[in-house]
Amino acid sequence: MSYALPLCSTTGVAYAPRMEPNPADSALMLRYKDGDIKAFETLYRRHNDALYRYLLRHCRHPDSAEDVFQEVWGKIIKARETYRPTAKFTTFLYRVAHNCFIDHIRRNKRHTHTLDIEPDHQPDPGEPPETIVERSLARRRLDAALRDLPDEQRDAFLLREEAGLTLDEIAAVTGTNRETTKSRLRYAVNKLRAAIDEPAEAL
Amino acid sequence: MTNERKTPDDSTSDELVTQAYRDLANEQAPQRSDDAVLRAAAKALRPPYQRSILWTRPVAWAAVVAICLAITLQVTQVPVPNDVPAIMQMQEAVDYREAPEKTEQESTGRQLLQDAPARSDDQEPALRSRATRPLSPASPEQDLQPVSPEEHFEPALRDQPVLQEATPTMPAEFEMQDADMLQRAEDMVRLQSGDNKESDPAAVGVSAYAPAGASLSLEVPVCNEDDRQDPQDWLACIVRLEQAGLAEEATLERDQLGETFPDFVVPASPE
Repeated sequence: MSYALPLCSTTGVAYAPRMEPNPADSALMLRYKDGDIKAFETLYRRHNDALYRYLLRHCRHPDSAEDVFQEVWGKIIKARETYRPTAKFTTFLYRVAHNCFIDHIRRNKRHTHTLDIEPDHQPDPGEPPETIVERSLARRRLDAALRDLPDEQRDAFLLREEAGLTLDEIAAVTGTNRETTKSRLRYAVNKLRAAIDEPAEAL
Repeated sequence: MTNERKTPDDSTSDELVTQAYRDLANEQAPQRSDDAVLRAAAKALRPPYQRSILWTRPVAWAAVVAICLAITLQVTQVPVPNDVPAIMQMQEAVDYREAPEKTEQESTGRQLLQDAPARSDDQEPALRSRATRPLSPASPEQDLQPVSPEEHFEPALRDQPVLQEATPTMPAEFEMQDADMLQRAEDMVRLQSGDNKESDPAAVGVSAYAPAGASLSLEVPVCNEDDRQDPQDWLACIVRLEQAGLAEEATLERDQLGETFPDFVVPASPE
């Protein structure tokens, strides 16, 4: 059975076309460098949730994700003195996050935590019960498939979905070339699509 | 912004997967993390305590250097003897005696000129002429006599209050101890200069400016012809010279005593 329901219809997650926010992240960072704390708050509100989700999918545990999350922002704060707007701020932010996550894995070799949190999804009151069940099953399948992905493919997929980075930017963050990134991303999408399209009985 | 998700625009994207992921991943950063990060960001902008008191370091170093310099100067400074001021004072007195007329003339003239507007016109010419008139050098006999400063002035003018004011008087604190120091300084100067004490006009000046009680002690013992008549008296005079610290003159007198009275056994000098 194909999962063709509009999954984002009730999520409430904002969707925006790809465009540079105003003011730009780099400008906000420079303003923060000059002592404008409001600029940093604006910058933080733009990226905090996406970064947290990126780290949560990687770490698979809320506490670990929170630790790495604060570590990443701590490094961003500390790096304000030497910050140069030579690249996109999002690329800079997620490169720091990528490195912090790798350090976190190295620090915690026994990285056996699993993400056992059910997505906080409130169904529509008028939604049929079978649709709610089917949607919940689809989320479980996607979550399981995402967990089973290799780290590199999951990293590329999350950078695409959460940070909205292009192939070149993902390659810059992960330290690989464009083709490798493209290959990883294609594998990840295909696996997730296969997991979504699996029949419900497969779970 | 990344919190507002964007649609991938290349062939590696799948709309269904993207929508499924967005439906799945709707977590938000914990509020405590938000607070912690924003608090850390605000704290990073505040100047640290060390930076706020950074100016005290150069000030402290400057103070240390200044103190070291002061201590070094204090240690390396040549210590001045306690009696140097008195000796310098005595030297000034000796200089004063070497040219008593000039000094008195200057001091009197200065005093008169300073007080000139307060005086009557009939007194002023006489005073000015007296003040500016060069004094004739005194005879050696007069120099040997103790002369008070008032004697340099004419009797008529001596009664004038101006002259009384202009008369150099010895300060009250110039006591016996100072007189002894003056004596020692005088002897030192005389020995250094090698002058004969009889022809030294300093003796006159000392006597002239010493208080009445100190004048006797300031007189230098001298072996006169009466003393030289008798070897015992001569020897007593020599002993007085030695006691007065005039060892060189005592030695000379002792030699003369031995030559004049070869039969007299001259006792050895205590030094």
